[in-house]
Amino acid sequence: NNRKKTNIPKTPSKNTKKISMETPTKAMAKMYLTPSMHQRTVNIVKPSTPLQEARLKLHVSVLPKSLPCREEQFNDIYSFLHARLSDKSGGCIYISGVPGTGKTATVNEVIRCLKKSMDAGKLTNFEFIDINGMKLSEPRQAYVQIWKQLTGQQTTWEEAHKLLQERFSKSNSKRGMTLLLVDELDLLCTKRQDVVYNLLDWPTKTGAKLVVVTIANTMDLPERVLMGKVTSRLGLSRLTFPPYNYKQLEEIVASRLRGFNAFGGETIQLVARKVAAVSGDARRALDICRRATEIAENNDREIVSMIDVKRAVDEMIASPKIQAIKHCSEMERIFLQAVCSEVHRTGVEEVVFQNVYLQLGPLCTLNGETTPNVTEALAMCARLGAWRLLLCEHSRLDVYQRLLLNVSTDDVQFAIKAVDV
Amino acid sequence: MSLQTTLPFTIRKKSFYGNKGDTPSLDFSNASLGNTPTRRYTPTVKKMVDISSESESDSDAENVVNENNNITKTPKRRRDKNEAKEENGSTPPKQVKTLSPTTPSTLLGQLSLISPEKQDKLAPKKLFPSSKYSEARKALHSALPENLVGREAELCKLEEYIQFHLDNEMSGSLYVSGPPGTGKTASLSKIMLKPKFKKAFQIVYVNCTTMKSATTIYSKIIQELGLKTTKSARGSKTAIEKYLAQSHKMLLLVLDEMDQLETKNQAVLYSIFEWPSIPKSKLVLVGLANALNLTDTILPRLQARCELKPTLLHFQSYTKQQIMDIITERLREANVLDIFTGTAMQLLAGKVAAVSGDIRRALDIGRRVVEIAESQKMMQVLQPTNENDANPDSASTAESANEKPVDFKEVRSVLNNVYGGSENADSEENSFPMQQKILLCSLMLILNKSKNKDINLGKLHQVYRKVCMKRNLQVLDMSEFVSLCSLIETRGILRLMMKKEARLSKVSLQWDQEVLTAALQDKALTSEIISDVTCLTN
Repeated sequence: NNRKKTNIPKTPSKNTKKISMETPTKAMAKMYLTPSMHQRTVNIVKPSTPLQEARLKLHVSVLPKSLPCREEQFNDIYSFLHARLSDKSGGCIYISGVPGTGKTATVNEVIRCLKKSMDAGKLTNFEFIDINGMKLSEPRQAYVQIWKQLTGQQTTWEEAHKLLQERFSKSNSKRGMTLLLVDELDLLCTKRQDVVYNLLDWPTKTGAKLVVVTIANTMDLPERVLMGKVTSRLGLSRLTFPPYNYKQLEEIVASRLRGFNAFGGETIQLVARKVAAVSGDARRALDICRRATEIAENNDREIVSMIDVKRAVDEMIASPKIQAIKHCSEMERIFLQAVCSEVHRTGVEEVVFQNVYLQLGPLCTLNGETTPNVTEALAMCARLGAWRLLLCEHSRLDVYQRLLLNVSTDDVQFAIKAVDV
Repeated sequence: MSLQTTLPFTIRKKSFYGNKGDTPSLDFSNASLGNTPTRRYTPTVKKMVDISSESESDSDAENVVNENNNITKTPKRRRDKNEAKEENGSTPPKQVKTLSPTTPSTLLGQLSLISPEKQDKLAPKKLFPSSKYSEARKALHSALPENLVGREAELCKLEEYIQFHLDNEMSGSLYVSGPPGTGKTASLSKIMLKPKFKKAFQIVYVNCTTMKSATTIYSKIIQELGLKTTKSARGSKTAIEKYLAQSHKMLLLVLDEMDQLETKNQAVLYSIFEWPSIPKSKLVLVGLANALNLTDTILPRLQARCELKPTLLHFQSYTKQQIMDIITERLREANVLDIFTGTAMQLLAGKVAAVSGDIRRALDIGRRVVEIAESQKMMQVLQPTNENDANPDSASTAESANEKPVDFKEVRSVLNNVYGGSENADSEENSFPMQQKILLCSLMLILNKSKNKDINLGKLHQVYRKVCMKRNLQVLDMSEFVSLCSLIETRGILRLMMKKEARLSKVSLQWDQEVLTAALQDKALTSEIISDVTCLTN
């Protein structure tokens, strides 16, 4: 017996046998495997220069310890959730705002604080579950995810739904509160809206002890998309995250860069103003700053200067179409001009190929080129269509296909003139 | 628990059990059982517990113990009672007489029904100094209420209807309609909880939104009835019909959110509504939905046969008086009636009744008002006494001292937030990015000055471009422009009808122009752009 024991680790064949003893299905059923990822073989390089460090800090995934400029919303959500959890009554809250305004980050921060006070014993126990509409292949998979996070078991959605229904409709004094975060709510809306209805109906049950926090982009989603009964259950506790203005964006970037002097002068302000003028998206401001550090690094600068930021902004808020027109062949540019003049002649945006071809002849002679035949012109048209400078109909319509300019006529003129000079 | 020896009846009890060496806790449970209205005695006990234990958590623990005692001890008590009777011979005055006819099972039901729950809620109120607001918040919950104020007439009708069919043992169908939040489900669940119906009926309650598809309703009903299950929908349907044709107990089938059962040819709904007319079936069918005339519009064939036609019952949306009654009743139950002033309540109820008459909304707003008042007061208390954080007792006493009722002003601000709509919310914060402002102004320019009101994104971009060029602003590319439009769309100002090409998608303004100009908050820019006709020409 003893000898056998010592033998086992030595022989490789037995070892492998032991690992592969269970068939994959069995392992799946037991669920004792936690998914793991391959380890990298080389260590990650530590950031050495201030620019690299700044870039690391500026990454979108790095969550700061406290979220600047969102104190008011934080307090609102915190007091709502804290009240519900300490009252042990259910409820829902709807949070909306355009992308990149810190909705999910703020909610997660609130939940972290609540968990902290739960661990300190100031708050009754609660379970936290989060689902994301974007991560579900189908709205009903939400039941599976919720049940999985509650118990760790994986079932079909019918079964999960039944179990959840039982759990939330029966009151159980031993069970604590449950906090459910539903991100991207608008993706859970189907025609029947049964998933949304159920998610919002459970909190109204007496024994459920469920608080649902829903997040979506659209401000008027309840009125626009949801049915009357679902809106009624969603309630009126709503919170809107406004887009950041330039001061706030500046503060956000500056708070991440505290302690580094990687950015010179008023560079941050330029980024903040540019982004705030368009969308007020914090992710975008951070991305532009990161790109600016990369540009500065390529140019062997210690500090990000105004020029780098300018280039980064131009890159990120770019208009590639003029570039594309500039790099077209001579004949293609003439073709675009022909389309423009046809639009000008008819006054209608949509033009027919054969009329454009008629315009093409004189324009070619003016430029001293030989006029291409119809087949060549059609091939050009198809190329421009593939670049999306033109919108074409199907090519089997030949000369009768209608064309639409996908760039403004001014852009075409501008690009062509700039080359001529 | 030792304190319970001071209960008024323990003396009597001692004479019963003095020699048996029972624990005092047993004593107490006997006392609560001794007379039928158990509720009257438990509060006194509760108080004792409260006094003995200062903190909230302690009292909670006690409560749990109490409950357990109640539940676990009940069968024993019966036995004890009998023994006591046999031993002593002398019957105690009244309690046993009222008790003796009841069976243990009903007693159990009585015990678990109300008393412990209520005590649970009441207990922390007296202890916790700052809990007045939170009590009000709890009282205004939107879960199933204990008594339905303002729905007495409908409840009466419902009960009459069911009672009538019960007395005559005949089947019937009833369709209950009403806007969301008017208490349809609450009334029905109230009816279903009535002991007399519970006894006489086999009750099946199905919420149709929980069904996977319309036809799965059959298998769900079969499950509830405890029949043998079959796999196919048709099989289960015939099984139900067979069951109905046989002699059986009266069946009360409640289908909540019935409009979810709509299918293409309405086969499911028709067959369900035909069940009451099956000979010998004793089925009372109640369907709940929002639409007033669901049975007429989607089930027109029912009109042809009078015996199939369901009786209709409509739940009107709540009036102002009813909403006020409901809120006052809730607050009175929690003993915090003075949290709302009269005018505040009038305003709240009037506004909600005028807009929707949805009680969920009214309760929601009420709760919100209380929450806001609470947080405001917290600010007031915490700011001047920051050093006081160390000893929370003094802070909390200060809180309770200036716990004043919610007034007109707070209610109005919440109502304005809610019913002012999204326009109102925007005008408060100055948060339109510059490019979005220009986009909206260009749109208004086209709408006002151009002949063609059919605006697509390409055209809008053209005008926007001109406007930007004139002001020496950076012009956004078309792809950026599309995403800018969809950002504005999330606010509900625009509506984009996406076509195959982004350039061709239609844009329509959803807000009134005056409201929009007010929201933009930049009078100079707006008026300048809107009057600038030169940007329109090519």
